[in-house]
Amino acid sequence: MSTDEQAVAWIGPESGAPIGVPLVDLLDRVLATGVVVEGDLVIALADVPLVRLSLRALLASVSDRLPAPWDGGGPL
Amino acid sequence: MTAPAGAPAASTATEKGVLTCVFAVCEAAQLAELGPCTGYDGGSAPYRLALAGGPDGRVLHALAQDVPASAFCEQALRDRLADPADLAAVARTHHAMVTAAAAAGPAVPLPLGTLFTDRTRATQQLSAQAAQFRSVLDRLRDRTEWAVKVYVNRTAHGPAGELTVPSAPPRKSTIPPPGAGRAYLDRIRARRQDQESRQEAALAETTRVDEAIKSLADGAVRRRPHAARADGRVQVLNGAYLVDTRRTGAFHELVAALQASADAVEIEVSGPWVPYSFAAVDAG
Repeated sequence: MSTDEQAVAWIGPESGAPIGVPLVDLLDRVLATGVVVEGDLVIALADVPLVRLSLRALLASVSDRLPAPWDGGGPL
Repeated sequence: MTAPAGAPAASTATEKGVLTCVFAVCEAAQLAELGPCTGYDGGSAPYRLALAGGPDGRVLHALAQDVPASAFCEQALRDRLADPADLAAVARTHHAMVTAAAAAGPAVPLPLGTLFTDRTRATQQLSAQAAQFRSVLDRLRDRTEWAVKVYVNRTAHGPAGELTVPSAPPRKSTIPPPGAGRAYLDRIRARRQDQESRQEAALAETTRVDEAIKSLADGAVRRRPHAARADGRVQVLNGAYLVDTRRTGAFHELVAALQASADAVEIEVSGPWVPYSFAAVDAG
């Protein structure tokens, strides 16, 4: 066991998911970036076909459920 | 998945029942102001891992949480992320933790699903990359990321504010008068030419927008544009810009000016983001 290990308890208020964060922009960032660590188990998310599928479904549902502020147009 | 040689098999962790999930690395001093988030459901209270000190004495901490292996082992994670609702929830939780870590200073976001078999291994592995984290932290200090998305304007004229009218159904055809076929083809051709010229104008304006923001930013990344969605909007730029916090006001003024002068495109901004897009070693 490393002597440098130190776990510091973090006591915070109740959990709250960030509201108003554009999901598309969030997924752009969360799924494909960051320093790659030699983790014991890091899934390269964008490469997982199932994730790609659900991503597509998710983004489709986003534009269905939240038409505004992109509403108002037929095809270009 | 990438599993370095010599890493313990996932089954070891599964037997213990917990995995250590790490969200971000930041400087120790800034962690007093963590925001309100408790991490993943079913996990432990979030905690900090002190990483090995560097030659300059700066101590880095990783924000981490113990999570149930039953929900976070590779197969479980794959299954859960195949569900759109779960994917969104996991992404938002990850983002909340990264944002909390970055509340009072720079933070290096780690990829979603960065998991170790236990705290010791997490500390060892992260400490081994401490120098890399330090250099990224220095690059991100006092800077935030802004997302700028540019779309082809669907109306040739008029400000974007007039776009709130719901789309009209296709015009009902009546009995065509003589010569209607020729007129129809003319209309099709005119529409196509109009569309092409709008696309060209949009691309030219997009280049102007990108160059203008780049001149103010400390870094720029062009992400792959999103595919056209059900609403038919065509995205021509999906950009991320690293902006010094002292230039945030100037950034907004610039964007407002670009929005006001843009005719062929619509410009959307979101942010400030933790600089996810600039956390890679070779970014920036």
